[in-house]
Amino acid sequence: MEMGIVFMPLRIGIPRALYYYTFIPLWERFFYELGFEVVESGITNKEIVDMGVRTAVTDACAPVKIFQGHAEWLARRANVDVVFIPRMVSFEWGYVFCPKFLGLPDMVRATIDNMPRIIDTEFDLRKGPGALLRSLVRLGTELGASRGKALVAAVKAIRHFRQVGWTDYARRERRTGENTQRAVVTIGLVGYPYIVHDQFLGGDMVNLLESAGVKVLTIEDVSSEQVRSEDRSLEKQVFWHYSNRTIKSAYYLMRHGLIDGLVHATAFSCGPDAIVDKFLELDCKHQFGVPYLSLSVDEHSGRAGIVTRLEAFLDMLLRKKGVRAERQLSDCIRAGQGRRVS
Amino acid sequence: MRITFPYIGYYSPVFINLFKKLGHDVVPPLRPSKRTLDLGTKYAPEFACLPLKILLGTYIEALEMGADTIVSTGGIGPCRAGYYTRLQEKILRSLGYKFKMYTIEPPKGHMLDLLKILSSFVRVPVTKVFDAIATTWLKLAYIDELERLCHHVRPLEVNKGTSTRLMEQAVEEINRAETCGDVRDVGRSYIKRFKEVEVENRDPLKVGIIGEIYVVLEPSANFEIIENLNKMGVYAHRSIFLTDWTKQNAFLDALRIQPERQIRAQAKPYLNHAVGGHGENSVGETVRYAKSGYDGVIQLAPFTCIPEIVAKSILPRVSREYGIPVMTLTLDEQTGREGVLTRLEAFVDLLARRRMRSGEVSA
Repeated sequence: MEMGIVFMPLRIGIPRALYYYTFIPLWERFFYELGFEVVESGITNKEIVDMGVRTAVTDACAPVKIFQGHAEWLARRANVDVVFIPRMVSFEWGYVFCPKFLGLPDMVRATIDNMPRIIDTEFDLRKGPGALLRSLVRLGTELGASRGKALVAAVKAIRHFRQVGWTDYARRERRTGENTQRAVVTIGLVGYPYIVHDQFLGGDMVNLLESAGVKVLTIEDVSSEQVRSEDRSLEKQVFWHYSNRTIKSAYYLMRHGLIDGLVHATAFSCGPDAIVDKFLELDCKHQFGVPYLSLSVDEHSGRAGIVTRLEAFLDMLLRKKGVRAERQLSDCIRAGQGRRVS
Repeated sequence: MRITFPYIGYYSPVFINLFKKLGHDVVPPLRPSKRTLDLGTKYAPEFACLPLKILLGTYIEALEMGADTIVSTGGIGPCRAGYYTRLQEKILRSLGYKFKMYTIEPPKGHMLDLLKILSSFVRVPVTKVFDAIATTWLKLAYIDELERLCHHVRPLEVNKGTSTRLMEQAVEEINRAETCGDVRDVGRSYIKRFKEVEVENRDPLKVGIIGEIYVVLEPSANFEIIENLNKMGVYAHRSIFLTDWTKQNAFLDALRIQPERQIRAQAKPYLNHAVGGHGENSVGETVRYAKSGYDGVIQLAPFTCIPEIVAKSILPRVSREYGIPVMTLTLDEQTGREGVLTRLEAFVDLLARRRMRSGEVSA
């Protein structure tokens, strides 16, 4: 019998929460190039949420609780060697991530016992050109790769990320976009990707609305140039990464008359959203005259609650246009459209 | 211009004086009351933190009294406070108030803007301005010094209420002082008087107070926590004083001298990055309190305050590793005075028993 040394690749766990939804193409490709095995936690479910709720502080927002759940799930259920919890500080000059992102690895370390090794590489792109490359190389060497290999992998990963962009996950998740050519109503559904695209938290809203024949535009549908063209609409820029995109995407969609109504999906007790939500509410009312729904979700809100509120909002928009709904959202759910999450 | 600004503890009268000396009418902000908070809560976003709500209420009350200019501080994130004046301005305008809002941004990178804003306030000769600012700074420094003394003396005073009265007199007299020399004289005489207050000879329980700057500094926002602890015979050390804080965070930071290096070093094993506001300080100071033999730490955190939530997640670990009890008081418009006092009493009881037990062991 032949005996060989089997080299087991390092299993790296990536929690499917928060920044995952925008940065996964970058990290996945980087780890792949280095020959590591990437294990993503599954779609958020009850077990993951319960894990997060147990360890996170009570007044943390739902997305952070869910993140903690994913991190623990990777440790307990997926048997990974390393959990990757990067410290995302800034990805664009002038903008930082919410303080909870800045303290994320430390929060996980302090609250979850018996975690495997946590890799918390810092990504701060304000540190000048090449900061992203340097961070990735540091990440690679920390995991045992040689500098040269890490550099090659980093260059490939960055090139890949530039190509597919941060909207990659959202695009792949969207299954119904082409059905809405004849839609009578277009809704701007703005909010952080980790709320809108987390099927547990956001109830798979985008697909659900589109299967009901409503056209949906999200912040992924507004390009970076279009976002930048709204810089002037604020006297002082909102300095958080996702908030900046959210508020300016909403402004762009409304200023160019692309939507009939605006829905802001926000997490209960989200700090930055206290500001974003009030700005959108007041500007929808006084400046743009666009109907506005602030859709607040948390770890307890079921899909029924989300659907009811969206349906009422849609009815109002349709009545304003003088048309009847072809299909109700709730009928679409009964017909099995929109993914079920247990 | 009829100027108003946020109300913060004993500092408020000093700022009133400063603006008057710069040649302005001042609408003195009212001490935050139930009505202030009700007004703020009514118009602020639900998940804004307590300081925003209190300040919004304060501004509304001042605008009702005829103020037409609001002065407050800004920031560059990631704490929300950096954006609060913009939000408040937007809300107040939507309510129909007419006023001008001045945001004093931190000097780092905004030195010119800062000078431009400051110069727009000046209605008197430049020499007078420097004089006014120097006197103000000295007043604030003496108030801090005296308050520190007051916190030491109050838990041990034999005649209850002496030091509080003394402190109030001191603030009033310091404020009346016109020149730096006068301020120094008054300040020194009160330092002497504080040292002469008759005190018991015992070693009180020592508690450190950490948390978000506004709720730590403004007694009406924290149910006079320090005074109440003092009344229970407990010494409470406030981790933030305005003059120290400004020195470290505004001036030294602008000169790129890293302030508070020690605190950061203490926090590092637990929280390895600044998270805005006072989150990093809260963690670092807890370590420092534990190392300097304090009996316990109380964290004051406004509900939904992001940096303090990060700190709150991490503090249990610090508490476990250093064996120092930490209690977090989350403050918002729903928080009731009796609830807070009950929790304070229970916490103090716990600390007293711990100290008794450790005494038995070592004896």
